[in-house]
Amino acid sequence: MQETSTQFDAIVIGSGVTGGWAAKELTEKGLKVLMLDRGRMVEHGKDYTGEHIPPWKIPFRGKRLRELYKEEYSVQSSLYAFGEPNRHFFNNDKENPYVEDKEQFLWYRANVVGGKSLLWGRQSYRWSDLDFGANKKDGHGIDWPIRYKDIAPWYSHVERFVGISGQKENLPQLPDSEFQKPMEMSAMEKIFKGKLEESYDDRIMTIGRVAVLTEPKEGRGACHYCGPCERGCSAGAYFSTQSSTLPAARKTNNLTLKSDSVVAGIDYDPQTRRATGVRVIDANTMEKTTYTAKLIFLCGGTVGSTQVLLNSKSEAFPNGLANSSGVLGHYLMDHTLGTGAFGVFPGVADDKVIYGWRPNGVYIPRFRNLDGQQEGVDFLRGYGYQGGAMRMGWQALAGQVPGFGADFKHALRKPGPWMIYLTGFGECLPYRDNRMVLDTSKTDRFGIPQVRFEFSFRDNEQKMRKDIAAQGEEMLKKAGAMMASSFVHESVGGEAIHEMGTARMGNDPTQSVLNGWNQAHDVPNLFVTDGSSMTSASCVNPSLTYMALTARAADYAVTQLREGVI
Amino acid sequence: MQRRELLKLSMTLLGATAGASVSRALLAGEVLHAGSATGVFNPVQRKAVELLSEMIIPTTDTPGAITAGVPDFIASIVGDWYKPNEREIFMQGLVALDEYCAGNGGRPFVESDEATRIAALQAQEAAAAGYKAPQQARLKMPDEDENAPFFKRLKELVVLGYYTSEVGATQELAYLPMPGYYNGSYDFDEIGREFTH
Repeated sequence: MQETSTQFDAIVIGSGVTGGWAAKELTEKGLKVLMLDRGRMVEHGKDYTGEHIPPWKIPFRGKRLRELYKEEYSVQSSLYAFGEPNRHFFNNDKENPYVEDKEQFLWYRANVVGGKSLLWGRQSYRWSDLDFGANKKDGHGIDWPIRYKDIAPWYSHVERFVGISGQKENLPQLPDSEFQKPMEMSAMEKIFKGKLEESYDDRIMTIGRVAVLTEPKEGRGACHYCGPCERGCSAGAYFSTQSSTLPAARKTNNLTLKSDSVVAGIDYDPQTRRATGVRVIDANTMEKTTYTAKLIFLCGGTVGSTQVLLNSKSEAFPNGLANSSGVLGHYLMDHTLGTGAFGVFPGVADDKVIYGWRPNGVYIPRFRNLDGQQEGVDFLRGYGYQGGAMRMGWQALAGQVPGFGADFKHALRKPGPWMIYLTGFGECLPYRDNRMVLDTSKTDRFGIPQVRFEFSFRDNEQKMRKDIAAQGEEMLKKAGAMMASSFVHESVGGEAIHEMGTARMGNDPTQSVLNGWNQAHDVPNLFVTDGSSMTSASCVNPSLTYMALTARAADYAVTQLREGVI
Repeated sequence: MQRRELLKLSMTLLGATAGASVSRALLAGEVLHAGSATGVFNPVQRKAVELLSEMIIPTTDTPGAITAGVPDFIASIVGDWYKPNEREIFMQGLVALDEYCAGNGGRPFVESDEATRIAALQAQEAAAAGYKAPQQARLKMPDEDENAPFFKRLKELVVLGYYTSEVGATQELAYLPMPGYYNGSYDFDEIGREFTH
């Protein structure tokens, strides 16, 4: 251990899914931790001002405030989860801009303590060796320094705390979690599942695996199906920093949390080869402070963390901290989106409707390019579908039922036929020139260079997207959809909000930023545990893996610290 | 209230600048009704909007659009939310209804008999039927079509205003703020109407 006096044992930068986990694990191991977030404070419950708001109390009944959104939320307002009941969780794109080019990449970001953990889709899936071995197998990107066996116990560790509801399926490509009881499928979903599994030997459908409690847990209530979750849940039924990791970290009395703290950079001492402190600008007063610690966990989200590293330049690291390899900012990935199919099922289960707002859909796990399932497939890797069934509601019916008057009103009283939609999430290969850089000619109000993206999906992703559409349509047709049609919208990076890969892990320090413990090769007391650490993208949702990697890294870091290695 | 001020107010509504209690108080308050005070409609236009709202969603075994406060909602949208060109399309629609009625009985819309009013509105529906909305870029949330014709606008506002109102949500629909559990195979006949949240 270094003979320096520091203010904290550890500083955690960011308070979202991974920052919350880092703070929990490190404080529970006895470290004095400072957690920083650039956003405003959001207290659990109290600041969920849009929770349970009835439709008639939403300004303009939810019609978009076009002028304001265009001026100040030009990117964030394009997200399904954005609206007046939760606008206060989101980044103001005018106040905190990046070099916007909507053809290249959309950067969705919160600007509050808790980060995107308040807003996320909550889908939670384990990755498998199909994912961790993918780069080595087909030669794209570098090999992961870990395999499933390395992370499996840490999946269990985080799942037992988070609470993941789901159904065991015993699939090698999608290992089961330690589940709470699964949510139920709707009448139409059950019918579709039956037809799908009759029609195909290689495909199954399961209820979404989701970080929403179906059974109460340590002060958190089970879901009461009120929806929409992204307005906040004072019952704490869905996993967020506020509902889960923050109370645990606070309970230790080892946590100091500072909101409104924008990290400009991390200081580095070339003599000791250690990161020494974090330079912070107060978002309100612009006051500058440097906090020091023995250990730094960078958990600012893929783009945020990479921006901090790129902006931490020194003589030793002229291209950004921990960037002797030169790969920092490169190999940006996201999942492809905007491709899928929908089908209408008139007359099927017409007497059944949905009671309750289930914050979850259904999942068709990857079936392409598994062992023995490569035939006729013209792309590498694979995809999974997320979807669900719903009945056509008054909004949709009103656009289709002509006329007006009592008959029109009555026609809208009964919901229309069931519809099923399936959306593919496709794996994106790691490409060196898909990247984010700092544009030194454009700085933000803190004097920090703005992020600019250079990103596109390539041939492999486009071929995969065509297959997603075709297979989706075929599955719906085989299940008896009257009208089934596919869609292939243009897909832009960032839309899946699964951005990752810009400070990747690897065994070779000349080709990666982090080692197999999320520890910077160049700076042993610096750990980066969010999506930036990912070496490949898989096709399943990544947050659960970020959590497991964070807990695993925290355990390793504390051991190293205790042993005096860092 | 000016549009810009209303935007500011709604920012304050849910923004972090206001304390939670203030936000809640504002949310619970009469903010939406602020629009009805703009005087966007003169008394004759207001009467026409009331008649039109009720013609589209009349009182049946449940209350109609007027009881649900739809005319106030329309006033707030036309007055405070619409852009000038959209407001103009709406106002011209009211003029067109009057012109139709003048040519079919010699009275303005609000003074015409029911059959004439229905025929006038049907003429507007027919005029709007051929309208095709322009394709929108995929990246944006589908923004409101600023050129949508009068009838489409009117029907959209009456439907939205009605089904999201307290009356519409709790009486015409089955409002479920706290379901407590999930049942995806619920018998429709047990409730006889659509659930809303």
